[in-house]
Amino acid sequence: MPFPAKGVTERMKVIACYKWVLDEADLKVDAKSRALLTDRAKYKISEYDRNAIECGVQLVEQVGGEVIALTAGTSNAKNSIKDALSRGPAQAVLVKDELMGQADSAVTAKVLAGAIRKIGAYDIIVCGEGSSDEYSQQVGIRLGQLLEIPVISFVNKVEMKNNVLRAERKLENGIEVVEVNLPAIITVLPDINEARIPSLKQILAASKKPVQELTVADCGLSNADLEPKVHRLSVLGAVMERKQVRIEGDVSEMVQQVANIIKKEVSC
Amino acid sequence: MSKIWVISETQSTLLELLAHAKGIAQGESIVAWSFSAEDAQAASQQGADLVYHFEGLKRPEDCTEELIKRAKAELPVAILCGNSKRAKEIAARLAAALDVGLISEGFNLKRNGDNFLSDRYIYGGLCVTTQEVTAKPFMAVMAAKMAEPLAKGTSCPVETVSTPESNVKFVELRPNQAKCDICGANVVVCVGRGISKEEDLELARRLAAKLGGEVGCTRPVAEDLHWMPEEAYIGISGQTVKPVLYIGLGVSGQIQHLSGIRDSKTIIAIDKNENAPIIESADYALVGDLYQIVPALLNELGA
Repeated sequence: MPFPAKGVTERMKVIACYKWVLDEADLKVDAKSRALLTDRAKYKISEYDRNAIECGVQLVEQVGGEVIALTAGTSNAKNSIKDALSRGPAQAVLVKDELMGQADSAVTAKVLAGAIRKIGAYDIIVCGEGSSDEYSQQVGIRLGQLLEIPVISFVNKVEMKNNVLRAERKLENGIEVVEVNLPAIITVLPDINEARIPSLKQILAASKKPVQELTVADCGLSNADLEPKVHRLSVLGAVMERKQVRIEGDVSEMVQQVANIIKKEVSC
Repeated sequence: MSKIWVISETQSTLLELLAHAKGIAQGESIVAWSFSAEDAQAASQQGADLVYHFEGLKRPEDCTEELIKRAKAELPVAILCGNSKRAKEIAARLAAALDVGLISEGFNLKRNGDNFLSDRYIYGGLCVTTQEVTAKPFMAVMAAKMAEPLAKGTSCPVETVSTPESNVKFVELRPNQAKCDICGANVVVCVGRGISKEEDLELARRLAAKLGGEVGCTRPVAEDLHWMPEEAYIGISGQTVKPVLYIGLGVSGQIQHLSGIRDSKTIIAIDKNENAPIIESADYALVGDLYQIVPALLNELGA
């Protein structure tokens, strides 16, 4: 298959998608009812997506062009824009709809696909491999399928060479190297890079960058398209039934007790 | 006749999926999609009613367009996929093309007529959610090692399928150098940040060797310190282990790590911080200096 001499756009255009999620470090579970307590939780850009944005920014640093940060969420997601833009993208696009609060992966992928069609020509889309809240690991892959472009999932190294995107995927049994023509989508693993911590200058510059807000209708979708396919019936704190025995005493006493426990479990 | 599909590029997972499929089948025939002649043969004897074998693929993912075409024509009742990265890609693309939901790393699969229920962990393993899907086909990537392969029976037919070229060009596959056996190990000794020097991994290695086990680690030990291969780290985005005995040495027990050890039979934690989350999540906790405890333990065990 012959590779084209040029990318799809004149200057490379990268779209980095991200999700505005509850910071799982702030979440608590009520010990009695096992209810999830979110009232003290702040929001953040999903960790995996910070690597996606960083990947996009590093790509355009290498070959020129710009990164558009794209997210879809409720009005609360507006609070993410400044953080996203301080990480290097030139502009941000937010699809805002209160129904996004119930979105599953199928809905999110459809909304992002609609937004990207609205944005127009692009070369590369970068998504995190999953989100730090749901971790369904499918939005980026679904997005590629909906846009009918090549998908490279679980990438931990990427480079542009003569307008061909070459990526390394970290799989269970080794590293797979593949190449695709643009436009294409990659989903990246956390170890692809270390996401930058924005400097004060970058944070200040972020508020001057253009932001576009879209509705679901702008993306060519109806409310019916926002109906999730997967219905969440319950959310409960995960329980791990453990004996929770403290082994105490001085080192030799502790060691003797634990050695006996070990010998009961395994013959050694 | 309606069907349940199972898809995996590894034999062990394919056989587990056949067992899951048997568990939810209500008269449907079970169709297995496999990627090698050996896997096709195994599937044909262990639960499948019909096996397709994709031939000549450079990458298993290259089957996806063909699967989409056939799924649209056949509309299976359910499609169960393996939880490797390759199978997750196939599953997500198939789900997008069919415009259906996909439950990732599902377990406790239940069926109520045309409704399917499955549990999965969210928020890094902090919570478990029960999810319901009512539209056909139900799709799930099943969590591994939740089913025993079915007993061998008579073989069902195997048909080969070939597919057109993919838009992703395969260049090479570099197999992992270090073979990592923690997933199948009976005993896992796991090192965390409480180990202060790379040389001290030797303590863990000696303990594991004495117990006939393997050494694993937490994510920072592999990804930040690079003391161990990435294949050795245990946690929600790494390996999931289910040993008879897990011993954490200087492991604090972040929720993401605990998710990867949840199904261990017995958990022993040795850490100097009594407020570390692993202390509450262990069967037996030793609060103290691992540099005193572990050498004494090796001595006690005669290592």
